[in-house]
Amino acid sequence: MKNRQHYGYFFILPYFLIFAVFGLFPILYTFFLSVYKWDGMMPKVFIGFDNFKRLLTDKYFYLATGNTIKIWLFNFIPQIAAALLLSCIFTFNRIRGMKFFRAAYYLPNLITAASVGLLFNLLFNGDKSAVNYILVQSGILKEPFAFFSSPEFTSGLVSYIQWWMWFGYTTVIVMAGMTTVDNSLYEAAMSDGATKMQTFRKITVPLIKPTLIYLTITSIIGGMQLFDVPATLTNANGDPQKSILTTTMYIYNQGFKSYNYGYACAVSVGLFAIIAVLSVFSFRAMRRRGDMYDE
Amino acid sequence: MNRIKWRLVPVYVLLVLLLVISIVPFYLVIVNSTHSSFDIVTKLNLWIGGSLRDNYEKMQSNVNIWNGFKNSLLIAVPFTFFTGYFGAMTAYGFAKYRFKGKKGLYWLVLCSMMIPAQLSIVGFYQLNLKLNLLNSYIPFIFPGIANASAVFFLRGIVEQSIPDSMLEAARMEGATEFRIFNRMILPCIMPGVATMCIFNFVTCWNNYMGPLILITDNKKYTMPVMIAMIKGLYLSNYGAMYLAIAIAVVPIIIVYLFLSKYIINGLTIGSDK
Amino acid sequence: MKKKALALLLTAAMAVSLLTGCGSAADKQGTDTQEGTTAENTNTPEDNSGTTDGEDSGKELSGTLTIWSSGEELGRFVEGFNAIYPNIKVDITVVPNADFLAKLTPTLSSGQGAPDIFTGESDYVRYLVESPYWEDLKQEPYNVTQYTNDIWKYIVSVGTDSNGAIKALSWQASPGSIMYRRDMAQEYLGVSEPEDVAKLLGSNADMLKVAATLQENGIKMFASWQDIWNMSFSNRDSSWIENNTLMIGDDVLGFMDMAKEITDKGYSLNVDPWSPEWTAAVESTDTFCYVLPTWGYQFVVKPAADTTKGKWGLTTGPVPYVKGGTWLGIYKDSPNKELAWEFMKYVTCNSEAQKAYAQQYGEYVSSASADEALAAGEGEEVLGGQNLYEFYNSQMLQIPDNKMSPYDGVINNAFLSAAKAYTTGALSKDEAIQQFKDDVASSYPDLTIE
Repeated sequence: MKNRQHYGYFFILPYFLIFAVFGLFPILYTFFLSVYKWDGMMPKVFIGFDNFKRLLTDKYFYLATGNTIKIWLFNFIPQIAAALLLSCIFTFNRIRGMKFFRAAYYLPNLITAASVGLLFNLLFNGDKSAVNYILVQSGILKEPFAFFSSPEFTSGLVSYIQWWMWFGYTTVIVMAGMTTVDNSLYEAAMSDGATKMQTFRKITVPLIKPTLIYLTITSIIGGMQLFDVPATLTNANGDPQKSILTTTMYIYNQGFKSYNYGYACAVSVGLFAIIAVLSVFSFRAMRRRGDMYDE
Repeated sequence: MNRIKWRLVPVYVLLVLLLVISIVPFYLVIVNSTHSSFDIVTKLNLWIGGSLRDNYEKMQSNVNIWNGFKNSLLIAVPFTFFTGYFGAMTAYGFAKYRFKGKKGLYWLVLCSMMIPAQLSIVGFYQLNLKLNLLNSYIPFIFPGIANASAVFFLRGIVEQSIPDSMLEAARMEGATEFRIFNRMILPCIMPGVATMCIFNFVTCWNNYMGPLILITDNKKYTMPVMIAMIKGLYLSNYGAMYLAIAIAVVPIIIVYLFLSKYIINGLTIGSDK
Repeated sequence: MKKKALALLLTAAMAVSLLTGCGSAADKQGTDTQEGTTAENTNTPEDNSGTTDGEDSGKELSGTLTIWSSGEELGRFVEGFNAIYPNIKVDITVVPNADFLAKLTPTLSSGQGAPDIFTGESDYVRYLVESPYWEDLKQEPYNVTQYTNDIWKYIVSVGTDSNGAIKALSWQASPGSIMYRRDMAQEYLGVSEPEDVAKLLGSNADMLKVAATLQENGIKMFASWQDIWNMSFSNRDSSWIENNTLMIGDDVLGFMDMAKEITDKGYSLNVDPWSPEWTAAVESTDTFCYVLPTWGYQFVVKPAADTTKGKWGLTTGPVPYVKGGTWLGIYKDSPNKELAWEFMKYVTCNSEAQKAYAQQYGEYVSSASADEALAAGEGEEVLGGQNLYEFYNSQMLQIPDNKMSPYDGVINNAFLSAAKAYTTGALSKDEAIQQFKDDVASSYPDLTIE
């Protein structure tokens, strides 16, 4: 049956055809422009690697990337933890209304991220905001707190919003991964006297490793490109004190507000490199501990 | 019996707490869509107000939201279909065949996700200008065929749930490769495909930047662009904006309810233990 | 596939490089933005020549005009325009202001897909004026100078590039005011009429004195201290950029101190402009005024005033000012320049059209003769009968010269953000100034920053 292996090309052909038409050019174009000085409109000037030299010493690039990684870590770890916990609960207990709960947890993901940013702004902005009102009325706070003057709070809020938007999705994905695990494995383990927790740790987690790798890598990719929520939560410049300035916000502002389009492309390339390194790193790290996902 | 129930109490408390967290902002959107902008910014509204009609009229007076609704559906439905079907197809190709250049091509798939989308929009515009596809939905629908994250996810599912012996058996019986994929593989990985479909429907439905830049014909605007327009048009007209957001969410819930039964099928472990 | 992509890439690159342009933007950054302005501050209109020509030939012109606008207002002119030009279809696309440049950039760079007319907000209008994308309206066949006498000089000066070409005009003008609560003024300051209140607000120090008085009675003087920047911005000693150098004068530093004092003493609500609570202050019982120009009345006070209807007044602060506005120009490669010019003429140069528009929507317009005619009309209910045209006309005669730069939007944001960090105590004054300089340097690396 070896002669059938070349059919693989036919199965992946449509993907690469469409990718070549719609996906490749914009990416190459970004790389191409990164060696130009260009305001986005008028004729561009070739400047070699000047943009990249600037990038290496650009403190805002490092600041924004650091912010982005911080916001990502503080939402990704609780997200995976919550998803595993919920999957565990749903899998090993008879929970009334399980379908309802799981569907409801996915709701936050349905609202456009930009609208979510605005909604949370409305809840927290100002001395008379809904949250301040509740906290003061209930006596938890003596006087209103200026939430958006606190870098720690604002950055934490973005992490929370991201967690809130994605924990339901992550749970759905983890459970979808679990459906592919052969039931007989569990039954065998149970009849050998393994506890539920042992079964989960020893059987489920290794078997859903591809799912966990998928979640980690896509979360790195998505998280490092975080834009809508922080851009709409405060003033689009990452205030207070640039605590929620993410790399893609920096790219957008450089490209479309400050007319440094060429440089913004170079920052994009830099971000691409960081995402690629982080992805490969976590891919390797996760794969090494198991052998389920060999090429 | 009693012991088990008591043990589950903290679990239910946790589940209900998460439920509240998930629903409250959602609920606020719906409640706010029935209040005047001024009430929204000055009060904490917890119950339906009387400004729904006003908000609706304000919203409709400058954008036709139902037209946007139709346009978004025209993009999102075929996009989701492409993502599900071709995502599974590509994932299957990568998972179950050995061919030259496979590893390199797969890395190309992964890397294509890593370029920030905010800027490649200008390249995307240039491209579609050359292809004469401005003001067309094609640039938003067909990329569903080349959806990297769906391929990535479904490859893992295929590798986990389809044993090679299954393919060998089908080939022995003389089935063609495409028949095997359509008749055997696709139904087997349907839970995974449905999950990807829901997720990508939402992503596509909420896509703002692409349609904003490529579409200039008012009649072809999509929901997210219209929501941004309402915000821009009335500056502080939150009521009309929330109404538009609430309307935008409805079809996603329907799609979710429709597809979620596919996810839940096959999830039998535990529930009969 | 690679070949195809490469070919596409090359064609795109060629298309871009073929674009006619006259030097890079960087060359022009250093040009003094005030060159196009008349030397003396003569905003007085010289005559009231409304437009009369073109109206007979209206029916002969036909076609479709595409317009991109960052606001909805432009659409309000279409009905009147079509009464004269029934065969010109006007297609206006409203693009959310935050992403306006993102939408415009790819069309301008590729030379295709751009509309016949597009707008420019005050934040970036000077950049577009100095770029080669708008037609010079001074030339044939436009000869716009025959109409500009009736347009407030400030509007024309913003739309004039450093070579004297008139690239953009506006239907609106935005002189400044202090929008205050008459009832609170009467109760706590003992006077309520605009001219009397103005006397109490003769200098920044006086304003703070009034703020202290109001504070004793539990009233916040300002909705937000950032609003005062509208006034200070217009009265700076220099533009943000002179000779390619970032200018931070003593007046700018003084503003930071005033903002700090206002925050420390609680003279303002603790919110940014356009935040919900800021908007809600129109109907409050504890906020005295907004420092906003014309558009603040149209978009903030008037729509929200309900129980406070009739309790508002327009008065002057220490200095007259002007802030904001939207301009529009004709795209240089538009295939419909003749139609575009007719529309632009109707919107920006036609006194009668502007008068009709202003009467319906209550907006202050760029035609001086229209504003003067309206000053004789009825006053505003919200303003307790005060005539806003009469008030703003007097301001328009006193406003300072245009001190806008191509980068105002970004620089203002960076400045207000730094000033805010100083007012909240997050940064010391020196640190805040340094942060401001760093931000500007990062946004515009070619500028000299001392």
